[in-house]
Amino acid sequence: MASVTETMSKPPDLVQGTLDLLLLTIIALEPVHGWAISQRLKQMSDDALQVSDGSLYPALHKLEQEGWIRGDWKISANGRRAKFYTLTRPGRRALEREAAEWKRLAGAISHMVRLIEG
Amino acid sequence: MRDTRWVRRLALRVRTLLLRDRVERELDEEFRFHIEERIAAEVARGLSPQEARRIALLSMDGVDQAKEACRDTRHTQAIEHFFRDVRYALRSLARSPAFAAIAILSLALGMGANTAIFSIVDKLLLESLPVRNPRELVLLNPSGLRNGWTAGSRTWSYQAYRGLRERQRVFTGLIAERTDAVNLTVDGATQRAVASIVSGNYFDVLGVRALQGRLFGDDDDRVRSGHPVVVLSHGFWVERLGSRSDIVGGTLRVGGHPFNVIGITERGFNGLEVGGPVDLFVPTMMLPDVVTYTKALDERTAYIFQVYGRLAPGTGRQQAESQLQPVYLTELEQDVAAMGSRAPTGDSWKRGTLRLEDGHRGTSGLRRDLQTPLTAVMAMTIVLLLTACANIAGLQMARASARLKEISIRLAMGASRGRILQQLLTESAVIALLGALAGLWVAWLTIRLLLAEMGDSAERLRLVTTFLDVRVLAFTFVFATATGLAFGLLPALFATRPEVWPGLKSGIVADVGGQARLRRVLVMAQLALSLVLVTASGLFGRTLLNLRRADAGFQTERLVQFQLNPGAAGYDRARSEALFHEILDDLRSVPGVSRATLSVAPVLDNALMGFSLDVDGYSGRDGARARAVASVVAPEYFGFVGTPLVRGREFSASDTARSRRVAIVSETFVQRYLPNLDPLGRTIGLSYGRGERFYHEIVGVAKNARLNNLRDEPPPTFYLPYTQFDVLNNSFVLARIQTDPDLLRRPIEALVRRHDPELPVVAYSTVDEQIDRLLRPERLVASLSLAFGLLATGLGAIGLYGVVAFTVARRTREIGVRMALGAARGTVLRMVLRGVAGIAAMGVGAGAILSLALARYVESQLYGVRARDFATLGAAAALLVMVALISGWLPARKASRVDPMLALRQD
Repeated sequence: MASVTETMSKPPDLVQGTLDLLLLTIIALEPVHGWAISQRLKQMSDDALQVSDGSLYPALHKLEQEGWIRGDWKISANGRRAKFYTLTRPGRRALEREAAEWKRLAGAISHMVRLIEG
Repeated sequence: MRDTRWVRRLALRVRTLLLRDRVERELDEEFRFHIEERIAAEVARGLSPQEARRIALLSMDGVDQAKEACRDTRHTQAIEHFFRDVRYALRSLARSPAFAAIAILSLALGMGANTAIFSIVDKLLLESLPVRNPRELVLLNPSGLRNGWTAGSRTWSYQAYRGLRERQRVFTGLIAERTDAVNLTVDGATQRAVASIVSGNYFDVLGVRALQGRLFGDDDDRVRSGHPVVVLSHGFWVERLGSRSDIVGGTLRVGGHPFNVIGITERGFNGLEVGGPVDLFVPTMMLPDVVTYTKALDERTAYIFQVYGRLAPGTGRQQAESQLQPVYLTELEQDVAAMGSRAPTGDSWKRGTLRLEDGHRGTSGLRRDLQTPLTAVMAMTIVLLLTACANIAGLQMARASARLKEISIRLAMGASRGRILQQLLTESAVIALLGALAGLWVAWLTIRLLLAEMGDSAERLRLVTTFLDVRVLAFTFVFATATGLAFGLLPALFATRPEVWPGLKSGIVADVGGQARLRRVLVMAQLALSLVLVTASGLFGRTLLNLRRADAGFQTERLVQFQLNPGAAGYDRARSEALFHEILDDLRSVPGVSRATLSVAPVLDNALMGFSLDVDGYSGRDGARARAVASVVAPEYFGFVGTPLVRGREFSASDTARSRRVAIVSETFVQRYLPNLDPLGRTIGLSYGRGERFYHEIVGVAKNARLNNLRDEPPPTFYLPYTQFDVLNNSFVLARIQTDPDLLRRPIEALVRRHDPELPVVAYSTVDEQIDRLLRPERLVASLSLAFGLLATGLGAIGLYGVVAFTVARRTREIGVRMALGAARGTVLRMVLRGVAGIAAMGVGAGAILSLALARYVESQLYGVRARDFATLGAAAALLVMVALISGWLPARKASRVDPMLALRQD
């Protein structure tokens, strides 16, 4: 059982741009609602990455306003209505661009770190 | 790849704006779903439902902030706020219907009047002619010698114009133009029309285009009587020909002669006279066919055209004037040479100069008559608008102080001052906009009324074709916004000051005295402005009365006049004279007509012709001739109109073309030119611009009569029998009647038709109607100023009522104390009324000073009363003070009825 303190401590919030990238990758896999996104983020990163619920929705809404993702209301697994987000075509292209950029950046940083480690 | 994101983004924003409630519900639902899931997950991990709920909510980082953050991403906040403010404003206006009604109504009247007057001022006084580059146009105004007679700006002979045109180098084009009323026959029906007789290059130089067919060129103006072509104006084609498609290429008769219709001008061009729209255009070479001045084109001393020039771009006016001077002098020399023995002695004529006047607004008799009245009216409407604004400012302040508690709460709960200010200003803007919309409707009505007052009919003047043109709308919008800010800003700033916060607790707001003072000042300003308007209306009203009662010098009752134009129908002199003779005889036997006579010029229409005369026994300075106006009449005229003769005799049937030439002169004529001499037996000599002079012996002296208009002192006048006057192309017939003039119209028209079916009866009206027409500008100004004065006073009364009621409400506790201590009702009443009297006195005093200061601007409009007339001012002041006392008395009475117990308990 998780201790109260564990659930109370806030994990570090992700930088906005990175958060956007992560959300887009999750949504790219299949249509999901906000709760599922936060769960999946925890799962797929082995709890390394968490986003506070208060920052999740503003980020999602921003992506929606920008036109990268689209919201549709559907019936969820437990029978209630939920807003499912899907990637739009421009969103998919943006994701590819950002992912490529991230890989380039990450590769450069890893390279630098390996140098230090010897 | 095309980026279609913007479509999606736009769609989202539109959806947010239009389906706001749904979007909000979705936001709620999304958050609720998330929280429910979270709770379920925590419960699954073993927590109790309550504990799980608490954790879930905590983890949300503040649901409301998160929601607000979501809303912020929409970037539609500003617009949403605005819509919300507007809805709020409308709701709060609906809650105070009295305030809304008064505010919107006073604004509507103020702005409507302004828009209406501005439309007319714009069209008549400001707008340029609808031609190419109107600013390049100048009117050529010569100051050299002028013989014979000139009318208005018609100061050029045809020969001088052509001479100038050949020799000048400063204009890219020089056009000559004159306007005449002509008989127009279309499909057998004859009507009167306004014709412009123009040089061939007229349309080219002005840059006017054809709507159908073609317009003149110089080739249409080469040979005398050789170009029977006519161009119709668009307005005429629409109004009186019903836009028929077959008219171009067809024929119609002008002055009895056939003309081919070759084209129609583009819409909006009505000639060069604003307010005197032209129906058709003919070339100058056709002048003798259209009007019967057979030698007019050759006479150097027939000054019958006005001449406009288009300056070459970049040429300054003074530069052009000095370059033209030698050319002009050459023409003057030729004029003098043509006068032969009648030429002036001395060299003073050589100093004549040619002035170039601004031509971009054309000429306008209407403008001349109405310029000052319209300006005065415009000033009054602005004053009225200011009064309305002051009223609303006061009302807004009252409302603001009533909502103080509400505003304090909002401020305390975190609303920014800016937001509240924004909302209050939006409210003012909504009131202003509603007022402006209602005002547009008021303006439309007012324009219709004004044009009906100003001219024969709105369409006839073709002044305001599209009422809602862009300038008017822009003007209204700017005014509305400025007004909204003007009366909204002050109360809004006042209501949101931080000092207002304590109002939350006790309900007593600090520095209410400041507000009361400000409102008192506003009311004083309103009263002052109202006094100015009421005094003005008193002055103008008296002017109108004085003019109506002015002695015309002849009997104006039961007098009908109408015009016949045999000359325009091709009659020669002898035939015209015979026609008039017969018609006069026949008229006398029409039942209802007691007597009839002739007068070539209509009475009371500013229509008398001016002449230069040789008067035996008078010699002016530098050989200047006597100047007098002429009235050409039938025998027994003076007995007919009721102007007594003080000496000598009337014209009789024995004064014919073959008998000795005679004349009768007016008293002023004798005083001016033959003082201390016996006028009877002396001769006066006049010429008709053809060189020959005719000498008439004076056989009678008549009392002065105001034949031109009722205002001016009658100028020196001389009368000639119509049998001995040079031309008889047209004349007015005057008939003294005993029945309703409308009943006589048909019999008279039938009578004339029996003599000649193609001779229309023109300008049939009673002389009383003529006087009404003459006094139209005065009536306009008087009635408008009265209306404005009443409105402004009404607004001032409302404002004063509001202030007093407010003050009394504030001092309710004090009044209660006084009454509890024994003060009688009357004392309380007197106390309040003293305050009211104070306000009224200051307001009226300021207004009196203002009126006296502004007095000199209206002096020229008045008649029979001075602008600084203390009687009128005093009456207006008394009226206003009375109104003020009454409107203050009502709340004062309520104050004195206050139950002291209730008052003391009041917070």
